[in-house]
Amino acid sequence: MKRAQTQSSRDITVVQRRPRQHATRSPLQPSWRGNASLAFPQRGKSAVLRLLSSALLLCAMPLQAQEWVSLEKNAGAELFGEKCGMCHRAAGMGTGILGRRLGPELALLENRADLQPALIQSAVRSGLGVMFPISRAELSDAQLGLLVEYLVHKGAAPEVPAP
Amino acid sequence: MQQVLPPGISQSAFDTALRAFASVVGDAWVFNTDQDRDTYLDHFGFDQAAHVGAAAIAPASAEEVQALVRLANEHKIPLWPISRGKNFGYGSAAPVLSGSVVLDLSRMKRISMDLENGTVLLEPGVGFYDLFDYVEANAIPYWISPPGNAWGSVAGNALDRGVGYTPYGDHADRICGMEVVLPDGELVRTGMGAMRDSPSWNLHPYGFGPNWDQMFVQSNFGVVTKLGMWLMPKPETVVSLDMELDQADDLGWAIDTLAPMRRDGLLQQSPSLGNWLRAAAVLTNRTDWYDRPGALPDSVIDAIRKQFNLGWWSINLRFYGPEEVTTATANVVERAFAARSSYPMRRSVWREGLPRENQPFAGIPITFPLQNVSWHGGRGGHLGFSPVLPQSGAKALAQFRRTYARYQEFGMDYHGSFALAERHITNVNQVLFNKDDPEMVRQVDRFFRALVDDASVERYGEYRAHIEYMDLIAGSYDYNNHALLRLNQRVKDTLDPNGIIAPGKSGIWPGRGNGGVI
Repeated sequence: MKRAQTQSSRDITVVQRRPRQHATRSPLQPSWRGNASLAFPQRGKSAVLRLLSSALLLCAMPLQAQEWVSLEKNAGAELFGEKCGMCHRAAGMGTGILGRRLGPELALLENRADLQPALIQSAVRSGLGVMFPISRAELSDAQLGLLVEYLVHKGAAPEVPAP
Repeated sequence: MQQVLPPGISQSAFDTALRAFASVVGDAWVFNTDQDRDTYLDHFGFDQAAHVGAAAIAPASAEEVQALVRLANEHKIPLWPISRGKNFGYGSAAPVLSGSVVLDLSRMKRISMDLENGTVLLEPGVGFYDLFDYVEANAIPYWISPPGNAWGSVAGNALDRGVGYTPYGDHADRICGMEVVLPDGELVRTGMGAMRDSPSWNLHPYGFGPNWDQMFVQSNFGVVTKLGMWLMPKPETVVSLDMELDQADDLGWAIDTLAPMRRDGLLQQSPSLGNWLRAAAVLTNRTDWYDRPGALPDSVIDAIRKQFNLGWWSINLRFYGPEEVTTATANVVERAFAARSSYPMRRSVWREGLPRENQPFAGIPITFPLQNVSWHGGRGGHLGFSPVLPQSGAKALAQFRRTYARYQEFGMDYHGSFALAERHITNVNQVLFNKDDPEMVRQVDRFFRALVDDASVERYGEYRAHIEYMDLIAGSYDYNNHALLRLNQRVKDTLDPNGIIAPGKSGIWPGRGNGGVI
C-alpha cells in the first residue's frame, strides 16, 4: 500500500478524550526555577483510547503506516477538557488569574455553581478580562451549547454530530 | 466589531466574494457577524481597531484552500491565513491589513506520525496540546517541543520562528518538508515531497535543487497546508541544573560561560536567563507589591526576590540522554560555573517512571506563564520585543543596561530574558501593560519604538514582530537601500500579482516590487 493512498483515502476519525489534569488534583505550582513539578496527568482507559491504540497499530507498521488521524471531538464534557482545560483546569492560565482576582474558591470553573449561560457565552465569544475570545471555527455554536450545558448543569452532555 | 471592507472593494463586490467562498466551504464556515469579527481581533494588542478582519472563512482541506485562493484572486480579496490564531504578543489572529478576510485553518487538524523515524506531518490546525495528547495517548516514544505558552499551532509556531526549550527548540529548523498552496492556487510539495509518493519527504529536508521551506516562513508567498517536523526521541534521563544569579551584572560573565558550551554542543537546548519579574508576574499582582506609577524601585525588587527566593537572573539548564552522558555533561557545566562564581547550582534527575517537570523543558505544554498579563490588573496586554545580538557577555550586558534604562524612563517594569542559541542571543522582552489604562497604552507605543531605535543603532534587528510593527522592523533591515526587502517584494509580485496572500506580512506589500520600499 502506498503512503499517498493511505493519506487520501483512509482517513480515520477518532473521538479523543483529553486526559488533562482534573481540576481538583494539583495546586498551582509554577516552577520557573525548575524544582517544583506537577504530577503527570492521570490517564484512564476508555473506548476512545482503545480506538487510538488501533490507530497506533496502523502507524506502527513500516512507512506505509502514515495514517491520518483526525482529532475532532464531539461530546460536551470532553469538549471542556479539549477547548477550555488548558486554561481552566489545574495550573492553567485562567485558573491562576481567576484565583488571583476572585479568590481560590472561584478559580476552577468546574467547581462553580454560579455560572450563567449568558456569561459563559459572552466570555467565549467576546473575551472577558484577559481571556481571549474563541471563534466559531474553533468552537461551533453547537459545541458552545454543550459547554454551557456542562458548566451550568454539570450533567452528562449528549453527544451530537460534529457540525 | 463593525465590518471593514478590503481597500477598493465595494460592499456588493465583497458580498459576492463571500458567497463564492461559501460555495467552497459551506455557509456554516463563513463567519461574517460583528461578534465573529471580535473573535479574530488581537485581544492582547493595544489597538484592536487598527487590525480588523472583514470576515473569516474556515476550509477543511488543502483542496478547499486552493479553491478559496483562486476565488480570492478572481474577486481581488486579500486573505490573512492563520493556523490557530494564537500568536499572542505578535498579533493573535488579526491581519496586518484591515479588511483582509481571515483564512482560518484551525479545522485542519490531522496528524500523521512516522513512528520509525520520529517525524510528524501536521495540518496547520494541530495545536501543541493536540499533538501532546496524541503522543501521550499512544505512548509514542517521542517528546514534543512546546513554546512558553502552548495554545498555538505547531506548524504556525514554526512558521513564525517560534522557539521551545528542548534540544529541538529551534522549531523552524526542525521543519522538514511542506505542502503549500501558492498564491495562484497551485499545490506544491517541497524537498523530497516534490517526488510523488516519496518515502523521504519528512526525512531529508532539501530534495534536489533549491530548497524552498524557509521561503514560506514569516512570509506571504503561500499558504502552508501540511508541514513535516522532527520530534525528539524520548530521553532516558533529563538532568536539571538551576542557578540564581544575585547581581544584574552577573549576566555578562554567565553568558560568556555558557556560550562556548552552547557552541560545542555540551548545552543541547537554548538556555534562557530571565529576570525576577517572570515569576512575580505569573503569581502575583503588581498592587500586591507597589501602588504607585513608574518602574518598580529597587526596594520592591528586593522584596520580590526575597519572597520567591530568586536571583536577579535565573538560569535553567537541561541535559537529555543516557544518564552516563547527562551526568557527565552536568559535571562539566558545574565545573565551568564554579570557576566563575560561588553561586550554588541545584541538580535533579528525571528518569522514566518519575513525574515529568510541568514545563516545556520536559515536552509538556503549559499556559500559566501568560498569567503575567494580569500583572497590572485590568484587561492585560503584552507585546514582544526581541532583538538578536551576538553571543557576547559584554554586548548582552550593554543591551540589558540600555533597555533597562528605557524601562525606567517610560515607567515600565522590566521583563526580559536572554536566550542563547548556538551562535546568537535573542533578547526577549515581554512588555506587559494594562489595556484599561489609556496613558500606559500610549506609552507602550512610544516605548516600543524607542527600544527598536536603540537596537537599530547597535545594528540589532528583531527576529519576529507584532503586526503593528512589521513595517518598522522590516525597515530596520536596511543594507543596500533595503535590498532584501526589495527582493522579497519582487518575489511577492511575481508569485502573487494580485497581492491576495497576507499583504503586509513581515513588511512585504504587493505592488512595490518595482517601486518604493517602505
